[in-house]
Amino acid sequence: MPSLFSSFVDRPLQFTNRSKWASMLNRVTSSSRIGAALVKGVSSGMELAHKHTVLVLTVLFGMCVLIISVHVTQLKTHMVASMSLQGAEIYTRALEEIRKWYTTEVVQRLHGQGIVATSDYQGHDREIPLPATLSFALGEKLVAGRPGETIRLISPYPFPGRRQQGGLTKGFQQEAWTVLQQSSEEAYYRFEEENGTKVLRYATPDRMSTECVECHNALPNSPKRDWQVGQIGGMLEVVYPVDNIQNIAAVGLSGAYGSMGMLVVLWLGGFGLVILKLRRVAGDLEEQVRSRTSDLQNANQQLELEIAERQQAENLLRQARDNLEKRVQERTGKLAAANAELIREVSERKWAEEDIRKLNTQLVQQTAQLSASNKELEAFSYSVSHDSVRPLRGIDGFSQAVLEDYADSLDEAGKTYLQRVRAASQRMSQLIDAMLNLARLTRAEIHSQTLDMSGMVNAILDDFRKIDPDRQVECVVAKNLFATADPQLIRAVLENLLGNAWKFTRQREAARIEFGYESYKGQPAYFVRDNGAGFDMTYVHKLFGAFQRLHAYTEFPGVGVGLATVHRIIQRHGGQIWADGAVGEGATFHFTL
Amino acid sequence: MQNKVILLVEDHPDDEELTMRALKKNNIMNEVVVARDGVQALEYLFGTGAYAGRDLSAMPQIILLDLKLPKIDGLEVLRRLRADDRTKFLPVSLTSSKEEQDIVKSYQLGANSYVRKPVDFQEFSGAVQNLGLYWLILNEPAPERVPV
Repeated sequence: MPSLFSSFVDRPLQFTNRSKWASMLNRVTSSSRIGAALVKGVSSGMELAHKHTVLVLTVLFGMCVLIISVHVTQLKTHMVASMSLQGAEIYTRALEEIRKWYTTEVVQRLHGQGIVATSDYQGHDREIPLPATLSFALGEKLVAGRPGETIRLISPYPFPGRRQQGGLTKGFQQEAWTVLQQSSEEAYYRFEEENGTKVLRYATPDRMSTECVECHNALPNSPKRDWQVGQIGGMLEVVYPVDNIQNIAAVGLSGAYGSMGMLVVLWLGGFGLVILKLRRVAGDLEEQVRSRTSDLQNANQQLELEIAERQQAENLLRQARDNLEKRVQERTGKLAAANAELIREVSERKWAEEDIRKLNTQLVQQTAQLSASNKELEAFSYSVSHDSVRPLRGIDGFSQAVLEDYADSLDEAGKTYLQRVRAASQRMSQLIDAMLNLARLTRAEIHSQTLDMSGMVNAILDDFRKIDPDRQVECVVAKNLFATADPQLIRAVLENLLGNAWKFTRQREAARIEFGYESYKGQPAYFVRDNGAGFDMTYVHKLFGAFQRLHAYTEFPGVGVGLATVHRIIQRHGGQIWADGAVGEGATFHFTL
Repeated sequence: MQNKVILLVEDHPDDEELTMRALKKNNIMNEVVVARDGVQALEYLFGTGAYAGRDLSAMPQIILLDLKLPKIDGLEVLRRLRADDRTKFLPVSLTSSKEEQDIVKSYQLGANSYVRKPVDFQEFSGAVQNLGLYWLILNEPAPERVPV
C-alpha cells in the first residue's frame, strides 16, 4: 500500500495541470486588472463630477458650443460651394441645351436653303451665327450686369477672329483641358482668389457632334478639319463669384449665432438659477444634515448613556445572578443535606415501622395469650367460686348439724371447737369472696361518666352510720367535687377507703373522717383522711399488696384485699394512689383519676 | 301440700344432705325428687330414660337447679325446659355461688329466682325457708294445660 500511495503522489500530470491553472489565473488576473482600472477611472470621474459639478458642466457646455460653431462654419463653406456649383451648372446646361437646340433646329434646316452659319455673320446676307458664336454672345448677355461672372467657350483651336478671346490661358484652363482630356469627367472646378475676391471656376467639356464635325471640317476658316464625333472640341468655362453667396450665408449665420448666443445666455441663466436653487436646497439639506447630525449626536450620547446604564444594570444583574447561583448552590446543598436526612429518617421510620409491626405482631400474640389466660382465669375464678366454697359449706353445715343434733354428747370445749371450725370456714369464705371480687374488678370494663364524688362519699358514710348507729364520727366532706370515672368501681374505692377510716377510728373517742381535694407532692388529688390507728411508714410498700395486713386480726378484722382492690381500680383509671400516715396518728390516702 | 313435689337437681351429696336438712328444719315435708345431673333431671321432667312412663301430669312445684352439674349444666337444662310447652312455666330457682354473669344469664334464660348457697348453714337454711314459703305456699302456679 505505501508504494502505491507514493506513485500516485509523484505523477507528472499533477504539475502540468497546476501550470495550466496558473496561466489561466494570470489571464483572469490581468483582465480583471484592466477592469479594475476601468472601474477605478469611472469611479474617479464620477467622483470629480460629483465634487466639481458646475465646472464640469461648464466645460462640457463650452465644448458643445465649440463643436457646433466648427460644424456651422464647415456647413457654411459647404453650402457656399454647393450653391456656387449649382449656379455654374445651371448656366452651363442652359447654354449647352440652347446650342444643341439651335444647331439641330436652326442651323441644320437653314443650311439646306443655302444659308450658312459663320462666325463673321454680321453684315453678311444669308449668314447666321455659328452655335459657338451663339454661346459666346449668349454668355456675354447672361452675365451682363453681374460683375465678376463670366461665361465663355474656350478651345485650344480658336477661329481666327477670336484668337485672343478663345485660346487657353495658363493655369486653370490648361489644367482643366488636360484633366478632361484624360478622364471621362463631365466637369472640373476649382475655387480661386481673383482680384481679391473668391470665385468658382467651372469647366465642362464640349464634345463634337455629327453636325459639329460636318461643319467644322468643312468650314474654310476652321482652325482644325479632322474632327471626329465625340472628340472634345473645347470647354465651357463659367467663372462664378462666391462672395455674394458667402455674404448671404454670413447674414444667415450671424442670425443663427445670435440665436445660439441667446440660447447660451438663456441656458446659462437657467443653469445659474438651477445652481442657485440647488445651492439653496443643498444649504437646506446641509442645515438639515447638521441638525440631524446634532440630533444623532444627542441620540448617540443618550445611547451611550443608556448603554452605560445598561452595562451597570447588567453588572448588577450579573452580581444578582451570581448571588442567586450562590444561594441556589447553598440551598441545593442544604436540600441535599435535608434530603439525606430525610432519606435517613425514612429508613429509620421504615425500621421503626418494621419494629412496630414486629411489636404489633407480638402484641397481637400477647393479646391472644392474655385473652387465653384471661379466659383461664375466668374459668379458674368460676371454679373457685363454685367448687372451693362447697367444702366450706359442708364443713360449716355439718359442724352446725353436730352442734344441733349431738349437743348433749359434747362438752363445752367440743362445742367451742366446732364453733371455731364454723368461724374459720366462714372467714375462708369471706377470703374467697374478696379474691373473686378483686379478680372481677381486674377484668371489668370501665364505663366512665361524670360522678358526684362528694354525694357518693356522703351516701356511703350514711350507710355506715345506719349499720353502726352507736358510732360518733365527725365527717368533713368537701362540697361539689366531681370526677369522670366508672361509678361502680369508684364506689368500691370509696367504700374501701372510707370503710378503712371507719374501721380504724373505732378506738378513737373523737373520730374524724375527712374527704377533699388538695395538692399532694405538687399534684392535685382527692384524699380520705382519718385520725385512726394509722400505720408505720416503714411498711407503706406493703400497704397495697393483696392479702397484706398491718394490723392484728383481733384488733382490726379484715382479709387484706381492700387496698389491693383500691390500688387496682385507681391503676385501671390511669391514676395514682399514695398513703401517708404514722402509728396512732391516723392515715391519709391521696389518689388521682 | 304433701303432693307437691320438689325436684332437687344437685350432684354433690354434701349439698344434697344439707338442703334436705334445711328443708326438714323448716318443716317442709314435700316429696323431694333428687336428680344427680342434668340428664337425670330432663329424664324425670319429660318421662324418658329411667323415668319412662312417669305420669307427666304431676310436675314439680319448684325445681331447685344447681348451676354446675355433670353432663348437662344447669343453664342448658333451664333452656330446654323453657323451650318445651310442658315445662315452659315451671318455677325454677337456680342455686349457686354469687357470680354476676351466672345471674344475668339465668334470668335471660327464664329463671324465676336465683339463690346463693351461703357457707353459713344458718343463712343457707334461711334461704331455703324463704324459697319454700314463697314457691310452695304463696305462689300460684300456672294452669297445667295452657291454652295455646
